[in-house]
This record gives sequence, C-alpha cells and structure tokens, in this order.
Amino acid sequence: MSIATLTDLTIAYGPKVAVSNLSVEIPEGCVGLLGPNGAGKTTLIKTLMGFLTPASGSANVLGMDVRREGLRLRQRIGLMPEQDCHIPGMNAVSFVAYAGELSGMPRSQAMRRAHEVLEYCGLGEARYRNVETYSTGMKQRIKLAQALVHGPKLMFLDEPTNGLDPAGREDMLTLVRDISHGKGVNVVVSSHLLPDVERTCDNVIVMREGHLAREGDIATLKQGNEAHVDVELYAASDAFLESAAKRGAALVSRLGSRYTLRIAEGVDCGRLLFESAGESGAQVRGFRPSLRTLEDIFMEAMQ
Amino acid sequence: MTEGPRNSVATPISDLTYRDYDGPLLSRRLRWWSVTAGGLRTLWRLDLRAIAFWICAVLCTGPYLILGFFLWITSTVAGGNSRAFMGSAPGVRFAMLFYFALRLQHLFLFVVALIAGAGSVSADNKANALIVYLAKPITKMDYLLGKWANIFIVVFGAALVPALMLYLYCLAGYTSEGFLRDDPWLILRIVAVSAIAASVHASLVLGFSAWCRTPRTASAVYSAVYWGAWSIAFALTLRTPDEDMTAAQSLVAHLSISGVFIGLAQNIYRVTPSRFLNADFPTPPPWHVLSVVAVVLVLGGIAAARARIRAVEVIRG
Amino acid sequence: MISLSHVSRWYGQVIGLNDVTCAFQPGLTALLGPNGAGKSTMLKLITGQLRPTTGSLSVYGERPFANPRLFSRLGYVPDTEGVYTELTGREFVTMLAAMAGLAGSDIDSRTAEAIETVGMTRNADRKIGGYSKGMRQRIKVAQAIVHDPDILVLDEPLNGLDPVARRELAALLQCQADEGKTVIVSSHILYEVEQMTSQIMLLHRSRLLALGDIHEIRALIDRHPHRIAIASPQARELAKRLLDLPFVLSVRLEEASIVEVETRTPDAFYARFPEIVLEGGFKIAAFDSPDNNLESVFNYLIAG
Repeated sequence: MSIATLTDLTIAYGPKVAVSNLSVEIPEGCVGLLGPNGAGKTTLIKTLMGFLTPASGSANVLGMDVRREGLRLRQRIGLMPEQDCHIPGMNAVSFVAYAGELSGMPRSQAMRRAHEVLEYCGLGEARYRNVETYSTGMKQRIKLAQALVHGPKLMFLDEPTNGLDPAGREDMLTLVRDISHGKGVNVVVSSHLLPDVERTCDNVIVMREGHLAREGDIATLKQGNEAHVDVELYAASDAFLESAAKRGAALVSRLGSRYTLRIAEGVDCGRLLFESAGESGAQVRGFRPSLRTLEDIFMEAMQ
Repeated sequence: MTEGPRNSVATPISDLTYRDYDGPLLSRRLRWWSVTAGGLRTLWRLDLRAIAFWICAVLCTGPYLILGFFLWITSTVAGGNSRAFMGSAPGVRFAMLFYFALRLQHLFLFVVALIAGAGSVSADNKANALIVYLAKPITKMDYLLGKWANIFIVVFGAALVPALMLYLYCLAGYTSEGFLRDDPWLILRIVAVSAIAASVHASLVLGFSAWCRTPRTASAVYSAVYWGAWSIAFALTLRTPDEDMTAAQSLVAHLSISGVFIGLAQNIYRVTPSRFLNADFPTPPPWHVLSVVAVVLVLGGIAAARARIRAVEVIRG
Repeated sequence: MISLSHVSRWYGQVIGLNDVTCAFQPGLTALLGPNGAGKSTMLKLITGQLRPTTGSLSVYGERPFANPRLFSRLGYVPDTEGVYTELTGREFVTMLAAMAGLAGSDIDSRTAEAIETVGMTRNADRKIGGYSKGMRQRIKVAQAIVHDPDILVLDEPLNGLDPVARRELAALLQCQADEGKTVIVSSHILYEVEQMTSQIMLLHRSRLLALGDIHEIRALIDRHPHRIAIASPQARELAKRLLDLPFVLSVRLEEASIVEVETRTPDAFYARFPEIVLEGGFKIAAFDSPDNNLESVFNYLIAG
C-alpha cells in the first residue's frame, strides 16, 4: 500500500530544475527521505504538500492530485519545518491552538486538542511561556505539535533532530517511532543523520541531484556480503593479520583497530579469530558479520 | 467527539497517547476569520503593544469628548440656544462636529493603525511564520484578507466608537433642538466615514508591512509617507487662506493620505466652507476624484502585499 | 597550548562555567555535554569573546580576551546563523582573512585555497543570502582555516551538513589535528565524534565531568559493569560455562541464542573468553560490547 505515487514528476524554479522525471511510490509507515543538500528533498516535500506546482508529471498523495487539490490535501498533511518558526508573541498553547484553528478546528476544540498534543510531545508547564524563550529542544517539540494538532494522516518531518542534544534526540526519535507505528499516521522523515533514520524508518528513498538514486526497505538494503566479518581488536596489530591470513582470512579494509576480513564460507569465524589472536598476542574485543549501515548504502548511492 | 472503545468498561485503563482528531471542522470560507481573530487577540494581553494600543484608543476619543464638552458649555452658557454656537447651514450643524473631530483625531487614528498593523506581515516574516501558515489548508488570500480585516476592525472601532459616543450624547440631549430632524442619516454617514478611513489605513499598512522586514521599518516608512504627503499638501496651499480656496486648490490641499479620507468625510457630512472654533473649513474637494484615489490606495495596498507573500524561499545549489 | 585554571563565568545569576581546570593538548578534542552545560561559554572564553569572572585562562601563555595578536593564531567557527548575507562567499572569506592579518598579496590565493578545501569553489561568487544551511556552514569553516591557525575551535560544525559533507569535514579536521594543531569540536552528533577522535571533554551543568580517552573513562565507570553480548547457537551451555568464571557478575539469556554477560573487569574477560571458546568448541556467530560506544559513556556519566 502506498500513500503517494509520483509519476515522471518534474519541478522547476524558473530555469533551474530541482527534481526531474521522478517516479516513485512512497509506501505506508515511516519512510526516510535522504539525499545531499540540493538534491531536491525540500522542493519535493513542498510540492507534495500542494503549494508548489510541478512543471510536468503528476503526483497523487493520499488519493488527491497535488496540482488541483492542494487545499484539501493540506487538511490531511502536517509539516514540521526545518527552520525555526513561530507566530510572534504567542505561548505554546496559543500557537498550537492557532495552528489548529487555521486548519478549521473550532476554537474550543483547538484549545483542547492543543493541550492533548503538547502533552504527547512532552511539553509540560513550559507550554504557558512565550515561545521566543524556548530552548532548541522545546522549539522542535512545538513544531511537531503544530503539525499534529489537526490529526493528519501524513506528516513530513524536515530534520526533526536538528540541534538537539543526545537526550532530546532520544526523546524525539521515540516520538517519531511511536507516531508512525500503530497510530495510523504515515511519516516521511528527511534527515542527514542516518542513524536517526535507521532507527525510526522502515523504508528509504535516496535522492541525488533531482533524481531517484535508491529506494527500498532498509532491512533488505542492509543485507551485506555474508562472507565479510568486522573485527575489533584492543590495539591494531599486524601480527594478527598475518596469523589470520595464514588461516585463510583476507583483509578487506581497516580503520584504526577495526578490520573487515573476508572469511571463506563454512569456516568457523570465532575459532579462526581466537586462534589468530592467541598466536599473535592480540586481544579480540568483538566481531560480527558485516552489516551495511544506512551510511554505506547512502555513500554507494552517491557514487 | 466520539469516545473510542478504549474508555469502555472492558478496558478500564485509558490509552492517553496520541489519537486522531475526528471532530468538527469549520467551513473553509471562514478560514480568514481565524487569522483575524488571532490578530485581535494579541491586543487583549498585558504587554507593551497592547497597552500602547489602548492608550491611543482612549486618545482617539479625546476630540469627540472635547467637542461634546463645548456643545454642552455653549448650550448651557448661551442659555440653551446652541444655534449661536454653530451658526451654519441647516442640516449640517451637528455633522460639523463629527467632521471637525475627525480632523483632530486623525493623528491618533494613524498611531492606532500602526500599532495594529505594522507588524502584521513583517513580524511574521521575521519569525518565519509564513511556513506555518502555508502548510495549513489556507490560501494566500485568506491570509491577506484575515490580516486586512484585523487592521480594519481595529481602526474602524477606534474611529467609530468615540463618534457613536458623541452621537448618543446628542441623541439624548439635543433631539428637542432638532438633532434627528436636521439629518436623519447622520449615523450612516458616521459609519461610512469611519469605514473609509479604516480601509485606507488597513490597505496601506498591510502593504508596507509586507514590503518591510521588521515592524519598526514598516512603521517608519508609513509614517514618512503619511506625514510627508501631509506636509507637502500643506506647504503647497499654505499661502491661500482656507475659505478662499477654489475646488482645485482644495483638491491639492487634500492630496495626502489623511487628506483623502478627511476630504471624503467633508463631502459625506456635507460641510460647507465656514469658520468654526478658530478653524477654517475649506471648499470641499471634488468627491469623485478623491473616491478614485481612495479606491486606488485600498486596492493598491492589498495588491502590493499579495505580491510579497512568497510561498517558497528559493535556495539554489 | 590552552589551559584553564579554576575558571568560572556567570551572567548575572546564571552560571555558565563553574570552577573548571583543564588543558587542551594538540590533536582533536571533542567537547560534549547536554544543552546548557557550558560548552558555548567555554568556547567563547577560549576565543577571547568573554572574560572569566574568576580564575585564569591562557592560550599560548597569553590571555585571549581582546588580544588581537592571538587572534591570528585562532580560527573560530560559531554555531550561529549570523553571517553577512549581502556579501558573496569569496568576499566574506577575503574580509576575514584580511582581519586575521594576512598579507595583502597572500589573501587572494589563500582565500581560493580555503574555499577549495571546503568544496565551495563553484558557489563562492554567489551571495551568502542564497546559500543553504550546509553551504553557510562550509563557508564559515573556510574563513576559520584561511589563515592557517594553530588552534581551531568549532561549535557544532556538522550541523546541517549532509553525510558526504560531514565526512569531508571530519577528514579535514583530522588532517589538521594530525599536523599538530589543536582542534576543539563541540558537537551533539556523538557517533560522528566517535569516529573522529577518542579524546573527549564532557561538561555537565557548568562543571567539568570528564576529560580523557573514551576507553579509559569507560573502564572507570564502575557503577555500570561492562556488558558483553555473545550470539551463539549453544547459548545455554556457554552461559553455564561462563557463570563459572569468578569475575563474571551476571549472565543473562536475552533471546534463544544470545548471552549477555556483565563484568567489572573486561580485560580479564577478554583474555579468558577465547580460551573457553576454543576449549569447549563453542561456535560463536558474533560478540560485542553494546555499551562501549560514546553514546553509552555519555549517558552513564550524565545520568549518574
């Protein structure tokens, strides 16, 4: 099931083409939208929200055409923008309630719902203070709250963990994961922090210079080469490499005291590594079958 | 709102995490009112801007209070005969008071317009609020209309309420002297004049607010334009005494923003050239010319604002 | 180098840094801490924008506050967005190069070099107002390195950069550190920092909480014994065998084939474990220590 279908979509700002001939299906659930700066991610998001008109091609989001039904579309979509934004002079409650009213909610419902959503986003007593006095973490939560207030079916989160300290990041990622799994809200996360995307999303779409570079579900994409093993030693040791080579392991890459070795199929890795270590006096601190990270997938897509 | 099955007896513990919103939604046609209401609410607070607004609103009542006082004084002192106080063409005796009050009041009305509107779009630009607005199911025109209505309502109120106070005072005390008989349509004239002044201010302040980056700059620019135009118009017709002016000269004297709605007010109130309380009322300038200017200002301000509300910031590269 | 001695700084009643004594060595040091811990204050003190309220701070033996002589040896990349939007990238870097004291003849070539290093040559002649966040970040780095300073201070430099640009910047910083410069990076992106360096300085609530090598620090966090997760088809037998070891605190069967061991003496464990595996003929699919990374160390230290 897909929530959005893009067919041959081209978006341009005057002479500059931001996205060209993009055809992709955005699946349900939590999707990561990746790409270097200038790849067209923000432009794509704005088009899918219906306030940029594509030059050619079509895009169908939640069953609505972005060209013609932009207003109706925005009723069911929420955007958490990357930049700092607020309505001057309001506190969190009035801001989120106002956002609700702009989406058509009656004032009483908007107020009630604002409190509910702010509670969910983790803003306690601070919600009665002026938004301009907030820390980065609180500002991010408000941006999320104003996107959620009208009960959207699809959310676009642009760099949700930007500027957050590790604790704040943890909270935000938990929120994103919670919202997109089991609450009936689909989420598209655009972020440069790949581990964050890995944690929250099930699928990725990688863009590059306005084109689709890679897409698919993360688990499938991450399946690495089964013959490779990542080994971490206490300290880098060439003697270890020699011992391992004698037993049939070949070096693929190294970084400090971490090595990636290719080991023939059927060989017991543990035995091989411990024997090599024992012989060369190195100490193995960990090893595991090489798993590609999202970063590896991304870098490959950029080649 | 329907309560979900989560709160039924079968599961005594409620799920208080996020839930969908499936409650009532207001019609899309009223969306602009949310913007207006949001803006109006900002004046109902305890901060510097709101306090300044209320002070100026009170000052706006000043001219009407003063004229009411003079009306009372002369009618009591002159032995109940207020004709001696006004001595002008029939049907205009009381209308003159409202016209003169507007002339005295327009400075404070201008400040009210600035407070209400200088930040309407510029503060939003500074705080990057437009991205919040545009991501909602609201059109550019809803936003603009909402902001315009916000300023209009505030300035209209500031102009109308004091006038109504004086009107009610006259109604209470001077009906026996022919207040209603003289001009039964006076109340409509008052409303029309207030509406014109409010519209002109709303459009122009909105336009300047959209083109300037901060509320302060917008205020400064509008002040410069407003008072600059007034000064020029004043200087150009300085040498001709008011009661000797021709219609053309009077038009030039009224070619400023304040002049436009004051001149139209004079036409609406049908005030003829005369002397009143040491002030000279000139020949009324031709109303058709002024109307065109007023319409141009109103539509021009809105169009200028519309051109500056950008949906997207373009970042290249 | 840079040394602080009992430095405190407060703003009215709000405390920025509280009695911090430390020294920065050449190489790459990561400055970490939750928001509000005092990192920006520390960086502003080092770059001479603030004076310590009490205590003393010296950079190459001199006080950095209002000391233009020292500024030519300092490069600073602030985290604020404030850059001159009306200048082009090249003009911006040129202006700052001149302010740093570069000779007139050198400025153009050094500017071009710096811009090339950060990968902004293509966009250098456009106004900064039209730059994206990542581009602004890169131009800020360019102005910091143009005069080849001995000390580089960067406040959240990786913010807003895409993964490719982040790797490039990390490589650049490591390069500078390898050349013997003192590089101080303040960042929240722990997994990136981890790959750049193992020297960290952790601030918490305005005080210096930890300073040193990540692994040494981890070894010292007694309250949280080391956890080691081992994946093996013979999990239960292995678990039984490991429980015999005197330095193993607890053994847990996570799932059908994963054993989690807790120990306070990881060295002893790592020395003994291979012998047990080889003796017992256990087949090990994988094993590692889930809390041996910077994020865990950070959490343990902050949360106590």
